[in-house]
Amino acid sequence: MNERVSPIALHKALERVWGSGHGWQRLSAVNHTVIGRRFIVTALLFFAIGGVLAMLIRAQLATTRSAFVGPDIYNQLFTMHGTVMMFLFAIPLLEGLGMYLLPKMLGARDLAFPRLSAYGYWCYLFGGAIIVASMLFGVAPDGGWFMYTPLSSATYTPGINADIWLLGITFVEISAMTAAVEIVVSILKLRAPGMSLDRMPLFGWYMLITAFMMLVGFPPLILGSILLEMERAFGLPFFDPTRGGDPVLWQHLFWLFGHPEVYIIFLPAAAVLSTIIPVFAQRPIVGYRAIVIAIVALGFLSFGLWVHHMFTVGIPHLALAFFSAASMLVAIPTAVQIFSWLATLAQGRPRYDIPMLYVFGFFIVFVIGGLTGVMLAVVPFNWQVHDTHFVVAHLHYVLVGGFVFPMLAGAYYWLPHFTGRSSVHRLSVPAFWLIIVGFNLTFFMMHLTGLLGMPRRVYTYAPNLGWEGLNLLSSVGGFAMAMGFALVGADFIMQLRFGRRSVRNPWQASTLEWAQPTPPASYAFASLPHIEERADSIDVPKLSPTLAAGQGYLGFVRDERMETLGVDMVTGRLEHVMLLPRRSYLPLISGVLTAACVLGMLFKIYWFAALCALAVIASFVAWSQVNAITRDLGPMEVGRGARVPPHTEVEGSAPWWAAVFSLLANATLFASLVFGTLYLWLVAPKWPPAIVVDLGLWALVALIGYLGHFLLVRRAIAANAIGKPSAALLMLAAASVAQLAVLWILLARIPDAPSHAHLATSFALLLYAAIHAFICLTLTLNTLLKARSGAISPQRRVDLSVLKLWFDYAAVTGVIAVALVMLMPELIGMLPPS
Amino acid sequence: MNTHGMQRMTRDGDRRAHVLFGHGFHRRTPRIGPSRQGFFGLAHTFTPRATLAEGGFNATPHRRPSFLILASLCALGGCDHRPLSTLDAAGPAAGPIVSLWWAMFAAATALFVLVVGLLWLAYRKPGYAGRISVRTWVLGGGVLMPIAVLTVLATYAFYLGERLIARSDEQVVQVQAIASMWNWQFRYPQMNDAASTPVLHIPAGQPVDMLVTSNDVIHAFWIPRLAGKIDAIPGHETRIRLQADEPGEYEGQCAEFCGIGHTHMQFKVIAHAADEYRAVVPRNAAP
Repeated sequence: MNERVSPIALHKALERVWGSGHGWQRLSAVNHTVIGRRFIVTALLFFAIGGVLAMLIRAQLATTRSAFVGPDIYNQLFTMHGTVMMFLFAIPLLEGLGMYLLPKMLGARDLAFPRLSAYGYWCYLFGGAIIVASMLFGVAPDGGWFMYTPLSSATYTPGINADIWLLGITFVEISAMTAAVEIVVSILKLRAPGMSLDRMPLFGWYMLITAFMMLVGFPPLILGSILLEMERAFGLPFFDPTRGGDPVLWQHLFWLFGHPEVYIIFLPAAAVLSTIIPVFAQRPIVGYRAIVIAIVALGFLSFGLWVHHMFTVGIPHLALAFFSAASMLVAIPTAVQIFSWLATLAQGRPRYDIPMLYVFGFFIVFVIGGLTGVMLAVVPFNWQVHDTHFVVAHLHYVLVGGFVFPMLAGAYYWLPHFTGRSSVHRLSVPAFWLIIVGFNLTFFMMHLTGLLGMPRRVYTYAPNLGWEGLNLLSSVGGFAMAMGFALVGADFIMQLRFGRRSVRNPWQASTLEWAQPTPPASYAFASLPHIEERADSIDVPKLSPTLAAGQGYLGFVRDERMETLGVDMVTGRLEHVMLLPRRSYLPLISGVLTAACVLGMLFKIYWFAALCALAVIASFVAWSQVNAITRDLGPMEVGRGARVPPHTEVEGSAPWWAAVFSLLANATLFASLVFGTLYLWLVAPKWPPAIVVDLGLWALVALIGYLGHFLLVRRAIAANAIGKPSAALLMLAAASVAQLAVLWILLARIPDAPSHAHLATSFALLLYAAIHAFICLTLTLNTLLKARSGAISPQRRVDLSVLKLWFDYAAVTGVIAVALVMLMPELIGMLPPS
Repeated sequence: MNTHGMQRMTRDGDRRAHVLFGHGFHRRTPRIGPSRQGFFGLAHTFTPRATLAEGGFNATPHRRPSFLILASLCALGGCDHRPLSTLDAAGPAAGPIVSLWWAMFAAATALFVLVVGLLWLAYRKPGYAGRISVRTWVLGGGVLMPIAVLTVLATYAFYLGERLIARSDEQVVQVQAIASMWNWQFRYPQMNDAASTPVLHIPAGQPVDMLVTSNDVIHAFWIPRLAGKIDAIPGHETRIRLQADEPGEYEGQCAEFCGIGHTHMQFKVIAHAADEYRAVVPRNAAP
């Protein structure tokens, strides 16, 4: 293992293990480079679709009383434009960028859960395909991209349109959640040894905060979508004001997601800027610490200002003032970043290239968007321009300026890394000018159209309102911008086909992703570096040959295994070897089964959907079984004279943290459900209900059952410590079955749930508990299977640690759910009679 | 008290709207007294004398670019008829928001020029801009400057919001607005035998509280020249205060997307002289 091999031989050996195969085998790829690239390319295809939709919108609005499309089609156009751009373009693109770059920038060979990212990709692709295909059948969602109910309820949108949105988007969001867990855990655990958090490049910090925000930001939307779909499909009233629901609850859940989402989109773009600007300024970033503090602050603040989308729903003015101030406060961390970038340029020796053009574009467009954002945070002004084209202008300035421009800068910056070729300048420059002039022409005008009173989402307008000239200019600008984007597309293809072979590290950057061959090899690094300075100031030309020669960590192949290094989260001290799963068709199989399940729900064939859901669970069990390591490996040599155990034999490795962060997301979903329950009780019309839930003594049985869970899972862990977990696990499984039965009885005690929101929310709370009892049962059986096959030992106990996390979580949320349902009649008693 | 405050503001806001954006609503709003229309041609808005003659409002030089932008856009858009324009405020609930907008526009322009100027300087004259210390850049530009601007803005926004908000007040005329897909009905709860009407009748020169709700989906009640907007939410009643200074016709529309008919969910507003108001609201036929 220690004898020197030539770089070529090392490359061949690593490629044999890490490669993604050829032809149809590519469907089994789990490699981060391949999956990241797929995310990016797919997102760009959806961007093209969203762009065509935008052009159709601008064609319709170019002239007054246009007969191009009617309101039915137009409503689908703008709904799909927003939906595609937000959910199928922006979020997946940043996920793809993170997946592609993070291991390379942090000095790892892959992400922590390669199969999970592959599964996420299939969910994204199939979900996106369902949503986009609906347009071909003329049944695309048509309720606006924020799907306000009651308009999106079964009463007012009886067709399949809204179901496609709710189910399709939730399906796509699986990929957001898997990507978020993947990114958080990979950043925290899989870095090059020596890279403490304060040596991490800013890109890593940005993506870490982004992924955390996704973990906490998406669950309210996922919950809202599930509740609304349950209302549409089964008549359970959560948002229906005639049965004790409240449509404003949807708005809270949606914007509780929707506002953080804006920062989820902006932060990765800022990550790109913070990476590119120092390279072109030829000096390290100014204010590293200030930026880290700013983005952490931004992450927290962004969850405290969702109400600024709801200034006109009649919330008391004092509350509005609070959210208004919070919205303005966000300008501070944003300004800190802007001025840090400006200072970096001012104190460096800036040079010019195509990425910098887009950086300038970013400054101009995003600053305007930020300034109109502050204006919109001013409550009285918001009352006038809310829901007008002024808002349309603002959000495009922020999202195009704060996402598309930086991403284009990033695209030109990293394309040589993707392709190993250099850019063809002749097309890039005119493309930029078409885009920036076209963009400003389109959207600057919209500020004025909005001020002149044009509401958003109108499919036509009368002459003589003062809107005609402005709209025509917007349309002309829109088409110019579209041509610009087409040119960029052509430019990318040209570079791919005809670009000259690029030198390695063409921008003289100092981050790790350039210390490897381009286009990148499947294993990323032939050997992993030890980091001794901040990882955005690395001497790339000196480091890369030593890595290629295998002089870093893990410069060899052992037992045909895929290995990378795990470190202590904060200090970056070398901790363990992470053994990664080989390529596999299982993610694709799970993805196809999930798609079948979604289609079953979409067409209301629920027995089929339930069967598919079971099959998905079975496929996940297979994931866990096929990769099991059935013997203790003990400390392993990793090169540079270090020996560390594999991840299966240490505490707090990636799988355990993944469970923790999944449960964090899950807890946000549960908290949103509790919030919804109490919100309806406090605010909704048609309360108190005519009948209330009475769980009787069965509720106490359920509470005692959770105590049993709590004790039995600890017993199983103790039993494993002496090497005999099976009997204890069997008992735990039996306890889960009993708990499931008790919860089933409780659910059956809820009378006529469709009649009132109180009954519907009680049903949802208990259903949540029952689902978790079922998850615990599945996990226990899976662990039992593993115990029988020898995949668990007193040393290899991560499965049991994860099991304990889930049981404890299920117990805590279950107790809260059951207790809340028990307490609701008391709470309802406090309400004045209606 | 509240009402009084609004009335004071009326004149001011109203005049600013005239001066800055001209001539729009006079044609729509039949006026009592001598017509001042001739004064408000676009050319005149550039001469400080005309604006001063109009009531002492100083057209400060930094607002000139906005005139130019608007003037050139007016040429494209045809500004002499803008019944839905938020900039042509016709009462004290909408007027101060127009002034607020132009103040924010001026401040935003200044900040934009500052940032782009610094960017230009950083790029063109790195030696010069590089002399500014990192602390000044990050703390000065990133923290102190926004805090100063935002404190002023947030304070004024709160003050203005407090003044504009509709508080429960029996003295104020109340009208109910009930939205359905896709029309509006207005009821007059303070008049026993008043019929419900598809046209909104209000008295001119005094505040009116609209009590807004919906029969089906969420809509939004909005008369851009008279006030901001408020959502019409089924199961809830929201409230907004508006006022037309002069008798005349105004236009309102639904601002929240509400399905196929959203675009055409408009309504007409007639402001009547206050002493005629009770007489003109249509009555139910005697039972």
